[in-house]
Amino acid sequence: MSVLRNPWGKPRFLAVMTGGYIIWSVLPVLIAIGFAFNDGRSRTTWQGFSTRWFTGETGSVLHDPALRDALGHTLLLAVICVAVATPLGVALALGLQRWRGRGSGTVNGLMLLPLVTPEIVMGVALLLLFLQVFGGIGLGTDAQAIGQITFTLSYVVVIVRGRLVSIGPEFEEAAADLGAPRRDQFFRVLLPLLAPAIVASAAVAFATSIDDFVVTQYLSSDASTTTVSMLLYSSARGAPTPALNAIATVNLMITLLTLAFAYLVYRRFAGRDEATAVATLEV
Amino acid sequence: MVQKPTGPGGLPLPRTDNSVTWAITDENKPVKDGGSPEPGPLRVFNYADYIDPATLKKFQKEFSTKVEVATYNSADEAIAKLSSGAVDFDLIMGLSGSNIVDLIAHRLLAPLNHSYLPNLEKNVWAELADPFYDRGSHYTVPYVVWMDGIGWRNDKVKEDIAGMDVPWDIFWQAQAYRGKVGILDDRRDALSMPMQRDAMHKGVRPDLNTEDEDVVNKAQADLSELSGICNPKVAITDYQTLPEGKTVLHHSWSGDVLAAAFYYLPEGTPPDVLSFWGPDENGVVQNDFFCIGKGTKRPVLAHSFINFMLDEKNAYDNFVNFNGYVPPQKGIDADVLLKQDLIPKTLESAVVRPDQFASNQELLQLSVTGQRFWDDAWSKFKAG
Amino acid sequence: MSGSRWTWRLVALPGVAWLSVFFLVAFYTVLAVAFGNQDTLSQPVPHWNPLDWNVGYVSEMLDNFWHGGPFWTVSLRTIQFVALAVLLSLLIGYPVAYFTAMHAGRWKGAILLALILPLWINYLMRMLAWINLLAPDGVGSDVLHSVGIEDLFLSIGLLDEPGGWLNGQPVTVILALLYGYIPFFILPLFVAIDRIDRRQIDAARDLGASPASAFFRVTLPLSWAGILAGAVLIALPMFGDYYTADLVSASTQTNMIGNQIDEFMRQGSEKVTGAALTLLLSTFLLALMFYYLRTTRRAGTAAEV
Repeated sequence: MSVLRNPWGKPRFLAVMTGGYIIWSVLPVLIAIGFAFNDGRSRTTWQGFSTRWFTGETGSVLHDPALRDALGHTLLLAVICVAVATPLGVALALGLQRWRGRGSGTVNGLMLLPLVTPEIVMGVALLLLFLQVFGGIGLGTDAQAIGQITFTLSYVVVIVRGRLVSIGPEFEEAAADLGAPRRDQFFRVLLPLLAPAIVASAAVAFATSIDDFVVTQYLSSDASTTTVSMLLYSSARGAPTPALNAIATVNLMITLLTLAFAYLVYRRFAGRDEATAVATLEV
Repeated sequence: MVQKPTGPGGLPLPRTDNSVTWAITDENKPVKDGGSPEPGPLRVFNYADYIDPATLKKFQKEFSTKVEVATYNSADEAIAKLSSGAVDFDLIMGLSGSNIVDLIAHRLLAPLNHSYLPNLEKNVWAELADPFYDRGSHYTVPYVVWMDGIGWRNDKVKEDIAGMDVPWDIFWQAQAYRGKVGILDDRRDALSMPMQRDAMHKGVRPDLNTEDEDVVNKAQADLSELSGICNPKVAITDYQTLPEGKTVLHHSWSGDVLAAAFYYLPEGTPPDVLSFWGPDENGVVQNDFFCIGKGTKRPVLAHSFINFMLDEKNAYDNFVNFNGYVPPQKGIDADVLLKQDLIPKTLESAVVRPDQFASNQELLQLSVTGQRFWDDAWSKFKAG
Repeated sequence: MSGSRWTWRLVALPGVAWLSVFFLVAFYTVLAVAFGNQDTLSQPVPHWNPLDWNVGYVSEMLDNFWHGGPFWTVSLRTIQFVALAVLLSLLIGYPVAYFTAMHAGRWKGAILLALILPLWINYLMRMLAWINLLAPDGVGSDVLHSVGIEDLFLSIGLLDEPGGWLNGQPVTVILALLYGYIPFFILPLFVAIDRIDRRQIDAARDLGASPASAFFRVTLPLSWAGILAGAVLIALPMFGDYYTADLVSASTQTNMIGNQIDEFMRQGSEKVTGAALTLLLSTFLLALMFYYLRTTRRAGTAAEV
């Protein structure tokens, strides 16, 4: 049968193509990470291994205030974003899942819109909102956090709803049949079952916040609101040092560790297939 | 009586023959005499890479304070951000006469108290200590001066640009350097370049602050022609891309090319591979300034910073160690500088002298209608 | 746990309120600014009441658009760039997604991980990586030169000169867009192909279809929804991209509509024009979305029949 499933004859060509694709998509980044450890100023010529751009006395991620502050601000925004978007999104997912009838379709559509809106449109809309309507908030950290929460919220809802669908209403119904009060049904039955999805969505919110660029840039104000992405954008065209590669590397490591942790949690509690489903669907 | 065109908010437009004194009002008074510097951080808004990190370090040490520098990439971006009212800085530097009316009209500046600025009168060129765009230096104090010109790599570009009848023509003959040519990403500077070229061909003095729509559109058409000829990048990173060889011919600010020679050359590349030409007359010569943000909570610290930067030694160090833009200091004489062998022969004309302010022009704020012509032309050029 | 019918609406309320204020009202602000005016300081004066709307700025922009002005040039270029990048994504992405779903065997998990990985690498870091590689002395330029790609591109005029990848070349921008967004295309496509019931393909073969015709008549139509979803998923953000062209080119010849909006909103004080242009872009993308939803719905109904 396996021959029949394979319309191209031996898939060697496809295997080579896939391998080539993976190398093409990952290798440049690996090289960029490599140059973060370059002992010289160049980002194109290798001059020996060193961690000077991470921890060196001058111009390193650790000691250059501009780099260090950008990393700090990036993390601060990510923490705020997770702290607000996760509970807000979990509640919205629960509400939407059970809310039948008038209005639910509209709210569902509204929830999905930020996912398909190009970032520049959101950036412009939020910029004008904070300039024209919420002058009191103005631009800066608050505005950046609100902007990031607005679109990460939808990711949280989508992930949590996926888990709600796969749990189904049976558990709660069984608990109700056994006479558990409603509050217990929620806190002792539903919430533990949802826990892996909450962890996963928090991790996705964290990673999305860290890597966000457009909305964060549009809503930034002074030097203290510069993030790593903004730094990469403003420096990449000129003649940056490998410290730029170094800070991008640190950024990447934080993102990947967060996601790996969440994936393991999800797999442990919700099973491998579902974890893979979340990982592939929630892009 | 001819009605003079007015600028944003109906304010007068300063010109060399129409100097303006900006009033100091009761609701916005300078800080009182005799205060001591407030605790930091001093929040500064500046062009990217426009002040020596070592100079900043020295100030922070001397005043035991912290300086946070936020950067912008064009004067337009800075004005857009400041005038939105959403940001607030103690000190703004790098803006010039082409933005002064905007700054005043939007009420973005706090007036200065000269008792904190003894170095202004002591050190700064007389030409700029009491400028026509801000008589009495009520709101601004000059930082550096520069001229618009051509920066190039003489090891890559074979033409004798400085020897050409109209050196600006090089951009329209730059087929050989396609993709490695740059035009300043600033609407006023960029559009005034073909205007200068045109006038040079005709042997007349151009009005680089023109509000004649046809002249502006002609400049845009000429500039757009370059896309087909040499596909220029529109950027202000010449101080990095010229020394790295990513560009070989650039419409440049004089200071950027000197900065390239002082600070950005890769090891093994001698500074005299860089050349600069700027017109002796009818070109752009300009100065920018320090000013204090209206909402500052650290007015004395901000004054101290300005005065610190006007100190001859600090101004000199900032200039030769990093910035490349000449500070208008009486003690920093162009001829002396050139004799010190600090500046290669090929870059001599990048050192601006006081007398050049008379024969060249500053790009100055336009009326709202006039600005619209320049904006439209610029967006047309940017669309390719 | 059915509860009162209001309980769950109440739970949803904070989220709904958040999205209403920071998405709907924000978007309405774009409308109010685009249909508003500006003061003598060039600051926008929004007109909140639709009855007061001033169509001047929007109609001026549309006029410029219809008469082949700069907005037309930029929009046309943007559509070309996006269309080419999506097409290339399909040509490269389909075989990869197909192989991973159908033939990867025990490597499937590992390959999937490698396909997901780029999604979580900062977009700007991935661009930075290429900027370094494509610099005249970069490793990437050398490789492209030694494998003959450079010569090929030079001979068909896509590249101006050897090593000139970052000299403001449209092809570099298109390839950068491709590189940046293709991972987002491959994943939904992989999911779609992975879901195909293999027995349908086997049945086609049993009924005598050649491998190729089984592919074109069964597999490809069944993965069509995934292709469309992936294409829409990457086309939408590409239409709003400004940083890619700016980073790898900075020439006016590669500016996209996003660059134009960025110029008006952030670089200059022409926010009203910027808002009008944002409105134009959003309208176009909404139309695209509706078309997509209608096609998929129709396809869904057809499949059920």
